[in-house]
Amino acid sequence: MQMHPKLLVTFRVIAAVFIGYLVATASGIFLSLILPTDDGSAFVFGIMATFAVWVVAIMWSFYASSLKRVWLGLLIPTVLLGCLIGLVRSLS
Amino acid sequence: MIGSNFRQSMTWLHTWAGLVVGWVLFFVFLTGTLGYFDTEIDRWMQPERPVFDGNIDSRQAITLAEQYLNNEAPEAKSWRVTLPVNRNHSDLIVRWKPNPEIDHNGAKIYHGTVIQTLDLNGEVVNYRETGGGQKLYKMHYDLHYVPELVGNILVGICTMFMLVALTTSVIAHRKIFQEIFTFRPFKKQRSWLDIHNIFGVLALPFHFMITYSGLVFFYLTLMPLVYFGVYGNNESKAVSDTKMYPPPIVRSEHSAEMMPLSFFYDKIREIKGDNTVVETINIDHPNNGAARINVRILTDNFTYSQDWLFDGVTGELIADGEQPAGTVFYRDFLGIHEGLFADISLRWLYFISGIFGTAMIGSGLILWIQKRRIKNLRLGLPIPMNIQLIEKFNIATIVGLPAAIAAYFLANRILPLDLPNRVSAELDVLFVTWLLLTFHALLRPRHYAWMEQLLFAACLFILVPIVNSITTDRGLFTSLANLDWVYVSFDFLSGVVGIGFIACAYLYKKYSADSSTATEAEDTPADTQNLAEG
Repeated sequence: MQMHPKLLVTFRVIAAVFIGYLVATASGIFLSLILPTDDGSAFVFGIMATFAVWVVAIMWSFYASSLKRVWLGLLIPTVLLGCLIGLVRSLS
Repeated sequence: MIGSNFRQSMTWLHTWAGLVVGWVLFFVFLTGTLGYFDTEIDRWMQPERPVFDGNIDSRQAITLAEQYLNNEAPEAKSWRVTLPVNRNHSDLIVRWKPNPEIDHNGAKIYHGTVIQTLDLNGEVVNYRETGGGQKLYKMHYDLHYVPELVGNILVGICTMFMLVALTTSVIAHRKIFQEIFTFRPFKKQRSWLDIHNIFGVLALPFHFMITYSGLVFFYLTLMPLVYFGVYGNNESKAVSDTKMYPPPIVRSEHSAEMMPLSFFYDKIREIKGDNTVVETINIDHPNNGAARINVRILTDNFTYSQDWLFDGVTGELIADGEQPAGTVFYRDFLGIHEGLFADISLRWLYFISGIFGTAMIGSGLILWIQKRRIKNLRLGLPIPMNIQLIEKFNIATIVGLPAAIAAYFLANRILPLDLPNRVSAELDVLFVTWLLLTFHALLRPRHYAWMEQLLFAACLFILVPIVNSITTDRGLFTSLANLDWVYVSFDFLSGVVGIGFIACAYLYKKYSADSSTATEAEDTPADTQNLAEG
């Protein structure tokens, strides 16, 4: 299927903004849970790191060679992080 | 992939991330940079104030403030005493928040915080009402007219664009460090690219620091889901883990006599040493059974502060101000953003870096236009309408905003002193001037728009020291004689900026002349719309 270039960019933007935000949020929570410091510091460092993760996700959204790779490249880490968060939560 | 390789796709992202919010970023960088001299601008905007206030002992100041607050608002919800201890806090300021009133329907009526500045005798001082440097600095993260939360979110989103533009720029400009030494003047597009790079690279660490820490300021506003994911509704655990905020307390039914505030000043110095600088004392529920005293002290390097909590009635320590490593890092990072610790030379370095950032954004916006104009002119095509429009907004931002800021300074001197809501009036002058200049840019052909606005901005800035010397007795020569460096610097710099705008107008006229043959045609609206690709 041939997609109009403008539509293609729109989908990349949507992935960058929304899925990128999800990956960033998930990694923030994950870091808050696993960083080997006191709980408060882990939370503060974790939430501060989210912006860097988001930037990387945005860059990926415009670099990946196809739309499919964009979405997979963002959704797989999100789901993986979600599972890890659940795992860490159930262990502690 | 957009483009044919990693570098090209990142260049594309750099261009668009920067362009989409470029005007807002220019505004944020310029007003934020002026914030490094917020206190000095405050001083200039209150010429009734003496050059030197004299010194006051903190302990004595606390007692004066306490007497005043006990007379004016013994039953308040909270008090705050800010002590004159450094450049940033140079006044004895008292604030109180009244308790909500219950009207006859049982509904709560809230009243705003009352703020007063006290002099060395504990009397209220009445300098002219002005937005000062504080409002100028505050608008860079609250955008003034919108509710604070909305402003924070909008600026936060634009800052995220900035971070993307910065990160991708390092990749886009492959030979970034060679480019510092590259300047090809008077080559139009290449020159603008070089200027953009010079301003970007020279202060690159500053740009990254200021952008990232700017995001960190709003970490809870921008990333609320991380907070809810980790702490859910357990606010008390979040508070005790991070020690970011004092824990909430409940007002007691009965009133009680508090320990005198100076007691807490003595106590903190007993604990932390005699050199401890107390910056602020917050009193929750004064003269109430639940009264709690929050003594905020500055750490040695002044980059961040600690909050020590005491029981207001018994005087006992409730919680010490030591913070976990994450919170210390967070506060240090924000401290570096604000630069409150900086002495005068470092402060100028901050200011210059901020101006570099502003110039980087401005030259990037111009570069975007230049590239597309030259491409179209080479192909003999008319300039598309949307590119013409973007250039108009560029003019209104890059020249119009500084002109509007000069108008704000002039409004401070010209508006009647007894004008009601004088602070809002000053700020309205700023934004109305900016709006009018935007209309001007839209209506005039581009060459005239550039020239007229550059010269108008020059006039306003040159008027600043002149109007100051007419309306006050603190003109440039008097200030020089009094060694009043804040006034000297302000008046002198305004003049220099004014002359700078004249120089820009001269350069604009000179170097746009050779392309003017192609300009007559393009000032008529074009029908082509081919902006689709960057």
